[in-house]
Amino acid sequence: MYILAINPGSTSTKISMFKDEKEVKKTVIRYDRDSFKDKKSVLEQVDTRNNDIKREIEKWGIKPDGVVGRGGLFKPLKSGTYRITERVLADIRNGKVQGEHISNISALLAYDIAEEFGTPSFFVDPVSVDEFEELARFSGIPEIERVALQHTLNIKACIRQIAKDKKRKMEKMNLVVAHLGGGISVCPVKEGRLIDANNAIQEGPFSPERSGSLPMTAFLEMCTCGKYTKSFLLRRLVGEGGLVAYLGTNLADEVVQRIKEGDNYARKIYEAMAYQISKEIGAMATVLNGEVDYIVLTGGLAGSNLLIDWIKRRIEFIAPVIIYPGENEMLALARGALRVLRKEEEAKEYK
Amino acid sequence: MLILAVNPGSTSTEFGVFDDKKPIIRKKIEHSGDELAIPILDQFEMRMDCIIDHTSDYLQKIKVVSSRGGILYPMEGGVYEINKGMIDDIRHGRVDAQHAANLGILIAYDIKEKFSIPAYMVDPISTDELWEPARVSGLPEIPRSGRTHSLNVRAQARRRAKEMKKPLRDTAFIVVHIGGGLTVNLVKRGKICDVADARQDGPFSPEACGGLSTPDYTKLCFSGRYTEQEMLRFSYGEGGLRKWLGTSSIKEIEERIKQGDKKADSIFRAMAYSIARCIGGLMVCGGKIDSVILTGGGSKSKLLVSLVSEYISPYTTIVVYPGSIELEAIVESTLRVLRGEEKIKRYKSRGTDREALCIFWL
Repeated sequence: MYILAINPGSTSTKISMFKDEKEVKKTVIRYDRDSFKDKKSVLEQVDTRNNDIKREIEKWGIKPDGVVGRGGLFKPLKSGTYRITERVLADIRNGKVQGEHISNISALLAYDIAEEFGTPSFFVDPVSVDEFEELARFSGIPEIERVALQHTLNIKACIRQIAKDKKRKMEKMNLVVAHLGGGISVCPVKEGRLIDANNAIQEGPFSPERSGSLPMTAFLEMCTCGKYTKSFLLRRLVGEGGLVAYLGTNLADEVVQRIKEGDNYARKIYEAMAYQISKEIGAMATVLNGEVDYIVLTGGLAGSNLLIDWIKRRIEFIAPVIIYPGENEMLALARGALRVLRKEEEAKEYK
Repeated sequence: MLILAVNPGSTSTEFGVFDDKKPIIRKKIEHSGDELAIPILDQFEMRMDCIIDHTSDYLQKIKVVSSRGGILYPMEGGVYEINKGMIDDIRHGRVDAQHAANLGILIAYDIKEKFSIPAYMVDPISTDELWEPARVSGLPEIPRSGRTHSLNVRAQARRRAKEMKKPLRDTAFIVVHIGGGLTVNLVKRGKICDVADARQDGPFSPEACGGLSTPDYTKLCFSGRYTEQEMLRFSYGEGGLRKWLGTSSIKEIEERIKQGDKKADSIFRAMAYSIARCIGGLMVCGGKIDSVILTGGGSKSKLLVSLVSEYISPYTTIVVYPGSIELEAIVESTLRVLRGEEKIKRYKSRGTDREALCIFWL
């Protein structure tokens, strides 16, 4: 069975063709930073991206049995694989989403391509999967809700992987999964469900590009002192915070290189990030009442041995630590579609 | 040996005369709204009179006067000799500190001058002993601070160490001080190495909102819905339980829960949940923890204690020391110095070096 997976990023569209679980073709269509400069909304990028995708897959000459796109910042949803319907598309086009993000259009792209081949189209485990338990939703003021947004696709793929590796049922395991990438999500996983999360853009540890939780009264002073604009501050929180703010780079390899060359400041900051990540993992382990089977570290940064050693040393008293470096989004997407097409799982309906 | 201990709070003045550890006089005077309507440092005379009135029989015999430490510069915990530089810094507003605890310093200094006895202050609120990784936040503009309920927190850690018959330098505790504000403190070897403060990035508390989603907070700040002062009050006095339920009284909320108030029940549980998360976070940072200590007025709530314990008890022992032992802590620390068990620390005024200040020490 052939599955086409589509994953648009801000400056690229990744497309892969899978024959069952095996990736047989793949291409990354790249765009300049300026390519979409004149577009007011991500929706306006659909035509260009669509044409480019079609041109590439024509070269492959393979007819897919299903097309799968990444999910976006949709409404709060249950975990699973969703068939892309007119209803999802209408919500995306009408802005009924939790925020503007390039991943929102992946459903539009997948649907269009699938129409051409006359095959079904899907999206899998979007960031807006909401399995929070009640208590996780409350912050210290009603004006600001704690919202379930996390790296669901990779986290759910890791949960399946560890269940397979350890020959356990995922519904019978408790885990803490930390996705460590440009943004960081730490989730306590109770019997397969993501019952809480720091929300990679709202709270938690700082990350290569994001500032995470901040001392509130100090931050208030930053907001009100008149030196900074709202848009500057928002950029400083997401995109130009964390490692970027301290070290001018979001690349862990570069930071590690500097540390090797004796840069003590870089070491101090990188160690502080490990400290905050450990802290968040400890916090999320607590809400599982001490019943944690494994802690999983995944995402791009899980390949940074220095960082992982610092974290591991602190947290391994809680539970055995498993490392799944990188994130194989394309495979996770293809598998989501395959589960439905093989009738191992029913497609969820978007309402 | 007679010691006069003073502990001014925002709405009350607590003081006592102790013969070594034995209290001879112990008072806590609540002040009226009128008395408190003037700026804090202007309340000096009123609070001073209050103390003199009740202790005049003993003043001639007092050998040392000791106050709760105030808000000065970030400094190590411990006992400090009150000196002229400290008074100047407070009087000239070099420390951004309209806090009642600083009145204690002014009062002690005045008594020292009048009676020619030594004056100390113990564990300033501006105690800052954070270890290095805890100082780094996600933005270089705003380092994390170690400001906390240091007097009670350090005293409770010492008390627990004694109970365990372990030297303080071999201990690691999480001390959770639950008052209107709330701090979760990692106390390792007697030092407060990391703090999750309900006024900063910590849990929410009866009166403070705790850490919030920063992008949402930014948008709220710029929305025009709230003034700067109103935003600040989310962290000081008007956030947390009070904002959600209209009261910060745990007693009242427990009563509502008993009567079946679902919202009160959810919010109260959510507070316990957010406290537990912070305890868990600091437990990981501290390595092996001997016990978690719940203290402050809020720890008198059996419900709160049991909710928090549910999350924490699988990991470590929990002890509850309800209320605060601030006056006792002042006296015990003073005695340790007088007996030569602890070294007295000297305060150096940093003059007008504003760089040395943490910007948010309001």
